[in-house]
Amino acid sequence: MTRLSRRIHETLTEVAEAAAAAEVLCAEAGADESQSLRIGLALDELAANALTHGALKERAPFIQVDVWVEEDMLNLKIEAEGPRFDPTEGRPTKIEDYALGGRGLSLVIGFADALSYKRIDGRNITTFSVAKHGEAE
Amino acid sequence: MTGIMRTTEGDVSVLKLLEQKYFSNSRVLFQEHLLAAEAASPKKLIVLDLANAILITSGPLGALRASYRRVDAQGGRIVAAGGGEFAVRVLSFAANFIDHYPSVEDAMADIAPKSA
Repeated sequence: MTRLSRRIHETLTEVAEAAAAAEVLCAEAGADESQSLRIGLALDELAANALTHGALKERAPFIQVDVWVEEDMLNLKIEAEGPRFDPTEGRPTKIEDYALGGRGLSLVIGFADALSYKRIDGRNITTFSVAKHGEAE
Repeated sequence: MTGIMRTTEGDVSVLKLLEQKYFSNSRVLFQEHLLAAEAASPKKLIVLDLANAILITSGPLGALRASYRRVDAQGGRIVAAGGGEFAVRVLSFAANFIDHYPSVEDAMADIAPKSA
């Protein structure tokens, strides 16, 4: 299985590098460009949020990023220490219902084909998935 | 390449995105160039030329939102033009306060029309 595993410690540059690497991984695995960009977008949003609001406040912060490609799906898992943050909570039924104040979160939710959350031992674990191939243009 | 290039055409500041992808670490870059663009346009007219950009995340879009508020409060306008399909989709989703035009020329014609 094609896979990328990275640990982010403290900077948004690390986040951006991981997002770019994730896109390359997905593209090389044959995913549509728009679907690869969705993974890069979600990685940047979720990891930057964890870095800014969560992990930086911990004594030994790190954000674990995993991206893997299955036959028909692209998957991203972000695991980070920090206060509880469930991106699936209060998920509206319509994209248009999101306010601008939550731009990053609304992008993550709006561009996900599947989104799940778990909290284990003080760590937020979010999994974001999209189909490898988008809708026909 | 610094990521963004600023030029002035008449009363309008034009910011051209030189790279394809702008992640959360580009927020400060956007802030700096947007502030410079505002200062360079007395009428506070700004065109953000997405050019070849295919991805912009919420970090730089937050800087765009702040600039929009400042410009709007002074009676100006900030609009976007061009860009890749996915970038435009992100913009319409997370920055729908910004009008988008197919080209810089279209944007210029609307915000700073030349008198006949």
